[in-house]
Amino acid sequence: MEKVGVYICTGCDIDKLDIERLKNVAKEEFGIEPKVHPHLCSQEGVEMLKNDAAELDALVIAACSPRVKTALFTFDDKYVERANLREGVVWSHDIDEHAQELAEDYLRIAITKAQKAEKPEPYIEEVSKDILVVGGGVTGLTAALEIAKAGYKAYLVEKEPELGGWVAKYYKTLPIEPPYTRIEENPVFKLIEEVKANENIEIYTSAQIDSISGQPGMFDVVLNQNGEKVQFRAGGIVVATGWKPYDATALEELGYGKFADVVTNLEFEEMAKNGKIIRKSDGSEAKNVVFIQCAGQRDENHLPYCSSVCCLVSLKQAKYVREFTNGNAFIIYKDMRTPGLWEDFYKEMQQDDGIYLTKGDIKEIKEEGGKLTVIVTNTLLGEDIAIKADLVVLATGMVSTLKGLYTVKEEFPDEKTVPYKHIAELHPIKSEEDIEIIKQAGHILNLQYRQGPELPTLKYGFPDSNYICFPYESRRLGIYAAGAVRAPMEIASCIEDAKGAALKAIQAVELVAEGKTTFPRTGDIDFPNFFLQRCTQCKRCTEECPFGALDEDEKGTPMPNPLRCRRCGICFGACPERIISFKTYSIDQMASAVKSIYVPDPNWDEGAEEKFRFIVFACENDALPALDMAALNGKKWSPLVRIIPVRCLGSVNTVFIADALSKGIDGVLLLGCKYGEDYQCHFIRGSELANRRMENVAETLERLMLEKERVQVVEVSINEWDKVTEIIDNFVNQIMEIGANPYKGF
Amino acid sequence: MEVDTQFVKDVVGLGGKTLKKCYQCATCSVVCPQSPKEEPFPRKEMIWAQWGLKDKLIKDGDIWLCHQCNDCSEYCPRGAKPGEVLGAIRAKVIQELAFPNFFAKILMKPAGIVVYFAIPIILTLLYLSIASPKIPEGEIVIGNFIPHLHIELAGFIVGGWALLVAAIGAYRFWSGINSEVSKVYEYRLGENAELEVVRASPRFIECLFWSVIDILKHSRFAECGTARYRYFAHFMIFWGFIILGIATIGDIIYLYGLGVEELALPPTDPVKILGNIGAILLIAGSLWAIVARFGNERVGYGTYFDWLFLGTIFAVGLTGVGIEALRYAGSVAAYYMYLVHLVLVFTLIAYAPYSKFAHLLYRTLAYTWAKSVGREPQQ
Repeated sequence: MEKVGVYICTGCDIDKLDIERLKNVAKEEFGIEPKVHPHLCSQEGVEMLKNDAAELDALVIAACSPRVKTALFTFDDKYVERANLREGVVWSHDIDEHAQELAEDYLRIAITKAQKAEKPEPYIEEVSKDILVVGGGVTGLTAALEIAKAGYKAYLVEKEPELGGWVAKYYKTLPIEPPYTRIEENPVFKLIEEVKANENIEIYTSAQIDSISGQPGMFDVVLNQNGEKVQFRAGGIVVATGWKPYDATALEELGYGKFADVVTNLEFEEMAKNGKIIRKSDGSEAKNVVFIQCAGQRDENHLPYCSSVCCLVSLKQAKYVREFTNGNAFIIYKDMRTPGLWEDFYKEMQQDDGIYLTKGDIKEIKEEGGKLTVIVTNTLLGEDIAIKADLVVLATGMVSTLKGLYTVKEEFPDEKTVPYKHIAELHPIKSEEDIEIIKQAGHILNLQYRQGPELPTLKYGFPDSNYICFPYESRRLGIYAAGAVRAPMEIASCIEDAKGAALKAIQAVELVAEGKTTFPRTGDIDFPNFFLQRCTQCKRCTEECPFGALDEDEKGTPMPNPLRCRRCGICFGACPERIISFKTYSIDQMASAVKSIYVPDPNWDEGAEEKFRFIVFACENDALPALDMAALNGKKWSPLVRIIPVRCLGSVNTVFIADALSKGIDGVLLLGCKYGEDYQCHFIRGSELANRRMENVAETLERLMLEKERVQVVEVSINEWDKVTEIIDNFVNQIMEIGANPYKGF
Repeated sequence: MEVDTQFVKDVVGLGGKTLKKCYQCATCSVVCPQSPKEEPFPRKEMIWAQWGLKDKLIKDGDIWLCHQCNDCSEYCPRGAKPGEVLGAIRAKVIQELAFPNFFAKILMKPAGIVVYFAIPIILTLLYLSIASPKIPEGEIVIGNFIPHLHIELAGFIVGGWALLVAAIGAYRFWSGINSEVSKVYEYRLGENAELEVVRASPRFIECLFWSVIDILKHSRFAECGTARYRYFAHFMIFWGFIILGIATIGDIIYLYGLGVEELALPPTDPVKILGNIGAILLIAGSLWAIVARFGNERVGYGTYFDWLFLGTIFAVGLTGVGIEALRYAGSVAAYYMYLVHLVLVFTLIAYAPYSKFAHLLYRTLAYTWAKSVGREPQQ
C-alpha cells in the first residue's frame, strides 16, 4: 500500500520509551512523518485517525496489542497494522536500550507489513441462501423449522418413507422442557405436522443424496428420490443424520441372541409402543425386568465412550414396567450418569418404590427352567446378588451414522501410519480397491470434494469439531452437524443443537453472500490467490488444507473454492514454490517483515555480540493471547525476542525461517497450539503441520551449517500465560549458549 | 434376591419418607461418628432398605449402633436423611421382632392409639368395678385408695408379660445378628491371615458389662455432632428412670424391710428426695427433647412412633409429680390423677417391646455384639 500513516500512542506507559527515536525510525527508514498522540483510543484520538484514514490506504497504530480495541481501530476497509508497544514492550520488559530497540523493531515490522499489504477484493458470487437439512428426525425437523421460521427456505431430506426418525418409534419420551422430571407424550408427531404445514420447507422422503458439489452458497445438490433425480442449489447444510444403535449381536456375553428374553432398549421401547411388556419366550407379562446399563458402552471391546442417554432411557423404561405391569424394575449400572439438569429426572424416577438401583457388574446371565437369572457382582449391597428376571433389557449405546463410512482419505490411509495424530483410530487399507469397497458401504453427503465425500470425523466416528467452543462446526465450511450424529444426546439436547446449527448455517450463507468467511476469522474477505503458472503440482496444498477448500484437476493443479476457505493460510505455509498469497497476508509481506528487523552487525554496531536477535512466530489464537496475559500479569521475557503474530503456525512458510537465519537471526521459535488427540488448534492441524515441516527446516539448517536447535516448535495453550515466558527465556538461553548466528552482517 | 416392595413402603410410612432419595455416595458413612471402618453404616442400610431387603435389616446389628445424631442427615447431599431413615428402619425392625407381630403393627399405626389406651382403661375400669375401692376421707394417702399389694401384683403380671415378649424379641434379634446373613461383619483376620468367623457368645458377659458401662456413661452418644441436645436430653431421661428405679427399691425396703406402714412420705424423706430428683430429670429431659424437635427439623422431625414414646414418658413424669403435688395440697383429685398415672405406666411397661422403649433391649444387645466382633467406631 502506498499511503501509510504511522501513529504512536504515548499512553499506558508507552512514553517511558524514547518516542523521538521511534519517530525517527518511521521518518528516516520509511520516510513517513508519524503522529504522536497521548491517548489514541480517546474520542479525540479516534476522531483524528478517522479523519486521516480518509486520505490513507493503511494505518500503522503503535500502541496496544492487536487483540484489544480492535473495533475502535477499525476504519472501514482500510488496512490497519498494530505495533504492540504496550503489552509487547513496556508492560513486559524493563525499559532500557534493549526495550527501545525492541519497540523500534516492532514499528519496523508493522510499517513493512502495512506497506507490503494490498487491498483485498471480496469474492462475490450469486449465492443461494436456502439451506439443506439432511435427516428427518427430531434434530432435522427442528432445524428445518427454525430455518423456515427465520425466513429462509429449507430442504429436508429423509431416506425413510416417513419423517420422525427413531423418536417416532418411541412410546413416550424424556422431557423436552423444564423441570425435566416428567415422562412426556412423544413430541415428534406435532413437530412433523408443523414441518409439513410450513410453506418454507420442501420435504423429500425416501430420498438419498447422490452428490453435493460446489461450495458454500453454491452447493449443487442432486437427490435420488425413489430412483428419480431431483436437483437444487443450497447455500448451507445442516447434517442431522443422527445415530444408529450399537449392534447388540456383539453382546453375546450378556445373553443377547442366546436367550429370547434378553432384548435391547430399542426392542423394549417397541414393546411398550405396542402396548404390552411381555416375555418374548412365552408371551407372558414381564413383571421383573432387569436393565443392564453400559451394554457395550465404556468398554474397549465395544464402544469406548459413554452414550450419556442410556441411563436416562432405562430410568424412563423402568417407569414403563411400573406403569404396564406394576412389577419391579432393577437397574444395574456402572455409574448412573445423568448429566446436568437430568439429575432431577433421576431423582424423580428414583422415588418409585418399585425401581431398584445398584452399581454392579454383570457376572453371569443364565437360564433356569425358562427363567433368566442375572448374577451381579461388585454391588452396593455388599455381596453378589442373583435376580430372577422375566426380561433383561440391554441399554445399548449410540453410534454416529458417520461411523464406518468413507469420510476423508486421511482417515483411510494407504499405509499403516497415522497421517495426523488427532486421528487415533487406524483403518489400514492398502489399496485403492479397498477404498472403493468401503465407499460402497454407503454415503450421506457424498461431497464432491477432493479430500473425501463426508465430514471428517474424530476417532469414534463423530464429526470433528471443538465440542465446547464451537459445537456445530465441522471441517467443511457451511456444513454444520447437529444432534446425535455429532455426539450422543437425548431429545432436548437434539432440539437445542438443531437450533444452534440452523443459526450457524444461516450465518454462513449470509457471510458467504458477502464473500466473507466464517469462524474463526469471521468476516475476513481476503482469500488466497494462486499464481498457477509456477505450480509444480506437488499437491501439498490440496492435501494439507484442513477444510477441503482445494480441489484439483487430473494433473494435480489446485482448483480453489474461495468460499470453502477459512483463511488460515496453511496452504500458503505449505507451498514450496511460494505461489499462494493473500492480499493482506503474503509471502512477500511476511518475509519482508522478518527482514525489516534490525540485526546488529558485529562489524559496525557497538555491543552487537551481546545483542542476540530471536523471532517468535506466535499463533494469534492461543499463543498471542497467552503472551498478552503474561504481560498483564506482570511477567517479563527477554527483550531480544521479536514476536510476530501469525494466523496459524501452519501458515509459517519455511522461507520465513530461512530468511531469518540467513539474515543473522540467532533463533526462531514457533509457538502454537496443542495438537494430537485433544488438539486445540483453531485450524485443526496447523501446529501439527508446522512440526512436520521442521524436517524440511532441518535440511535448510544443515545446508546453512547451523545447529538444529535454532529452530523449535513449542505447544502452548491459551491459559498457559504463566509458562509461556519461561518457554521463551529457556529458548533464548539455550541459543545464547550455542552462540551467535555466524551469518550476521552478510 | 427377594425384594419386598411392601417393606420399602412400610419404612417410608414409619418416617423414612426420604429413603428413596439416597444415591449411595457414602457421605453418611464417612461423617458418622459411630460407624466402624469396615463395612460402615448407614450407607449399606440405605440401599438394603431401598431394595426392601427385610431379612438383612432385621439381622443387622449396625442400625442399633446409630444414635440418630443426624450428622449424616446434615451432610447428605441428596436430603435423604439417613438418620431419620435408620430410625424408621429400627421402628420397622422392632415391629418385626415383636411377638405377636400383628399387635405391634396395630400399635404402630396412629389409629392404634385407641387400642393403646383402651386396654389399660378397660383393665382399670374392670378393677374398679370388681374391687370397688372407696375414695378415703381425710389425709391423702394413696395406699388407702388402692392397696400396694394390688399394684405390685399388677406390676408383676404386666412386667412379666413385657419381659416374656422382650425375651422372644431378644432371642430373635440375637440369633439374627449372629446368623449367616449378617456374617458379613463377623470376619476378622486371624493370625495366619485366614478369615475366621468371630462369634459373639464366648465373651458375652464381659462385653455386656462394658456395654452397660458405656450406656450408663452415654460415651458413644457423646460423639454426636448435629443433634447434640439428644445426648443431654437422653442422658437426663435415662438417669431419671434409673433414679426413679432406685427410689422404688427404697420404697420396697421401707414397706417390707423396715415395716413402714404407709408410703405417704414427707418431702424431706431421702427416698422422696431421690424420687423427686428422678422425676424432675425425666420431665426436664423429655420436655427438652420435645421442644428441640419442634424447634429444629435438622436434628430430626420425629415420627408417630417417636412422639408416642416421648409423649408417654413426659405424661408419666407429669402425672407422677401431679399426684405428689395434689397430695401435699390435700386435694382428692390426687386419686384420679393416680388412676391416669397407672394407665400411662401400663402403656409404658406393657408396650415396651412394641414401642421405642424396645431400643433399650436391642441397643444393649447390639453394643454387646459390636464389642464382641470388634465393631468399634472409627477414630
